[in-house]
Amino acid sequence: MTSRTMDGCIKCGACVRECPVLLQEGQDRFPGPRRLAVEGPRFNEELSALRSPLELCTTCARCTAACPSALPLPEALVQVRRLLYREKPRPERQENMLANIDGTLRTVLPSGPVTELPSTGDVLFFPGCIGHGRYPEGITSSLSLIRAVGGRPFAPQGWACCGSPLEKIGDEQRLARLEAHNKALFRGFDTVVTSCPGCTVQLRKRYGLDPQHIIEHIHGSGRLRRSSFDHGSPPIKVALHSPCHLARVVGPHTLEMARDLLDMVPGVDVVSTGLEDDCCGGGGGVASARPDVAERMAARKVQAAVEAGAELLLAPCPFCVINLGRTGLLNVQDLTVFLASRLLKAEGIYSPIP
Amino acid sequence: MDLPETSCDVLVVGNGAAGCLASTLLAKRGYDVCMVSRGTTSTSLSTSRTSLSGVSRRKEVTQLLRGLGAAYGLFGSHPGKGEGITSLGSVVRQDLSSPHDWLCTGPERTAVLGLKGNADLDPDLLCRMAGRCDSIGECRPYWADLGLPSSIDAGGGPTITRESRVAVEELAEAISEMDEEMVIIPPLFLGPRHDLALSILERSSGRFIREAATPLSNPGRRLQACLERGALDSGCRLLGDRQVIGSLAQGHELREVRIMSGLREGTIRFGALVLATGNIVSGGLQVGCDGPYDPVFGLATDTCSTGSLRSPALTTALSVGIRNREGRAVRKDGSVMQNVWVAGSACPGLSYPLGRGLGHVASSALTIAEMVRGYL
Ligand SMILES: Cc1cc2nc3c(=O)[nH]c(=O)nc-3n(C[C@H](O)[C@H](O)[C@H](O)COP(=O)(O)OP(=O)(O)OC[C@H]3O[C@@H](n4cnc5c(N)ncnc54)[C@H](O)[C@@H]3O)c2cc1C
Repeated sequence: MTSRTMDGCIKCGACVRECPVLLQEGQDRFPGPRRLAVEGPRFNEELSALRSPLELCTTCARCTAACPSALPLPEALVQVRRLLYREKPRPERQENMLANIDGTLRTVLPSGPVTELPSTGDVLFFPGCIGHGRYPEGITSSLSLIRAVGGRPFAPQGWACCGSPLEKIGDEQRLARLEAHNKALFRGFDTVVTSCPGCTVQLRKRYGLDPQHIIEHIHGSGRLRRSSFDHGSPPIKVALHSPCHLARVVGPHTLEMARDLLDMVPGVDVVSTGLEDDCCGGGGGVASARPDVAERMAARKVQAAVEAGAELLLAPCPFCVINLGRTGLLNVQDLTVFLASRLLKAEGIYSPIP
Repeated sequence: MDLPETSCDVLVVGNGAAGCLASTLLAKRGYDVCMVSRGTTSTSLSTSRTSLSGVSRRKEVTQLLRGLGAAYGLFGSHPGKGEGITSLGSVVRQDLSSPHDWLCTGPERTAVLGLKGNADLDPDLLCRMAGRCDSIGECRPYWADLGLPSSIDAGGGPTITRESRVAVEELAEAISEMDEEMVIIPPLFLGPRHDLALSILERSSGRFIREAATPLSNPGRRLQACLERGALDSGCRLLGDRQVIGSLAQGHELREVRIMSGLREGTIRFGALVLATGNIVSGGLQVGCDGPYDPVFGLATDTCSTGSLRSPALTTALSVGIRNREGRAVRKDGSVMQNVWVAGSACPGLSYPLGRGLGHVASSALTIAEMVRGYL
């Protein structure tokens, strides 16, 4: 892949122009996708010299979207990163994550109470480590929404991490173990629903399943309409963040679906910030490797939402919610949490959030 | 999981100049038009300068572009105005451009202002190149370190954004130290009001302010935004960041295409299909062992050389386009697709820089839009 990336580059600079990390941090700290994924490996630079900039790529894929040749620049960059980690000791946070996986099969240990999931039903819901361990409201809301469109959600006991973070650091051994473990649990179920775009992509690309992101699932069911939502709620101005791995990897249709769903909710005014498409800064391991950079990028987005008059920032991705929420400048919620909170509390379809 | 099926009267593949203009014209006529776009267009990489020499239907092309560009301050100059100079020092002919373009008809003494950290304009290089060119007066290079980003959104409202106002003030201060009456700057401002930002800078600095023509920079992005807005305003639907990956033929017609959105696929049905997919630069054609080929529709290609470049390989690659008979696409077996048209630089012989640029592309879109109307 790296050689295809190197050969296909027409040196137009579109990726350099679009890269949000470069724009934010400047060329000196982050030379951008072309230099790191295309030129660095070509000119055989000392990998260790690229170490610190390589850590800054959030794999947001803005560069691929901008590239006239549609080169897979984030993947190429991740490959260079893998080479780097092979020769050097891993960052401490990565070591912790690996220890967690070895101990619990999941990347994060819950930091508080978790949402209990039913163990039987007809729609397999895959909670994902971040949602499970750090954002239980997002799990509860997903369950409510699946019920609202007529499903009985459940999660198989003992589910393991999807493996997405391991993919990024190239730990094939652990990856294969997690995959085999989950596949055995998933056998026999055609509908797998996820709330984290990272899991959606991993279950599709690595496991060959046909998972649906929760937004696709509830929109695709066609069962939600204006009358599904509470007309008595107070009006509110919200901004919608477009999560990179949802919009650019799962697909741009998901954001159209998200807007469509928000349009159904009475009293909601979606304001435009002009920075909807910018990365929150948390992806690609940046939130743990370089929290300062992740927070600066998040602050820029949240600030724009505040200036646009938003009272609430919504993101259909638990990971983005956590990173954007870090800034403390504005209330940030997963889109599913907001939608579930506005559902009409009709008998049988709505189980209130505890 | 499949995407919900959609349908339209006309499906336009590609959102460059050809796709946007064809969509605009057809949507204005009341057809339900859907445009699919993927990635960066050649249009947004161009300098946005448009030459009309040798373009058929010059008058209509001028009218169309002027109409769409008005709100963006684009295409304001009088047709036939002359030549401009690019940031690399080469002279390009152009007829339609923004009033703030640097054309060689200005005052004698010119300052060229480079901004540290902005790769769009190297005043030393430019002044050296300009020195070799008789038609350009005396140029003097300047450098300033203002810490400005390389693009600044001037916005689309009645006034310019705060960010661009600050930039204008800083530029005016730097410019006030120069003697020349005309100052060339790198193109900095984006958005419909970029021309207002430049006018304010002219007023506050008391100089004529002109922009260098730079490819891979803001002028192309402005052109792209302007044309895309035109298509949307005329009622066209835009399916962004999606790619057409296959098609289904019924006899000599195409009835549906498969489209990819991230992990998902879906079907779009249509009455007529316009391929405005560009050439090898934007991926409408790909290069294989036997030269460029159409990667999606299995259509035949033709070679039509209108000029030559220093690299023979590049000349060959850019001379290739999708074979068509009176605008209709031709398959590899020689049969003509009755409801599929080819517009813009996807056509053989319409590739820049072999002598054919935006003017020819626009004219091609105009002709194809009429043919599609005739068919529907
Ligand atoms: C660096 C550069 C500088 C230039 N400078 C000038 C200049 O100064 N003056 C001038 O007149 N001309 C210039 N040109 C040429 C000019 O830009 C082109 O002639 C013109 O933009 C072509 O427009 P188009 O609509 O035919 O194609 P494009 O603008 O390339 O649009 C084609 C679009 O179709 C999309 N597409 C292709 N296949 C698919 C698919 N399967 N599914 C979905 N989408 C698809 C592509 O991604 C692309 O976005 C320049 C070109 C370049 C590259």
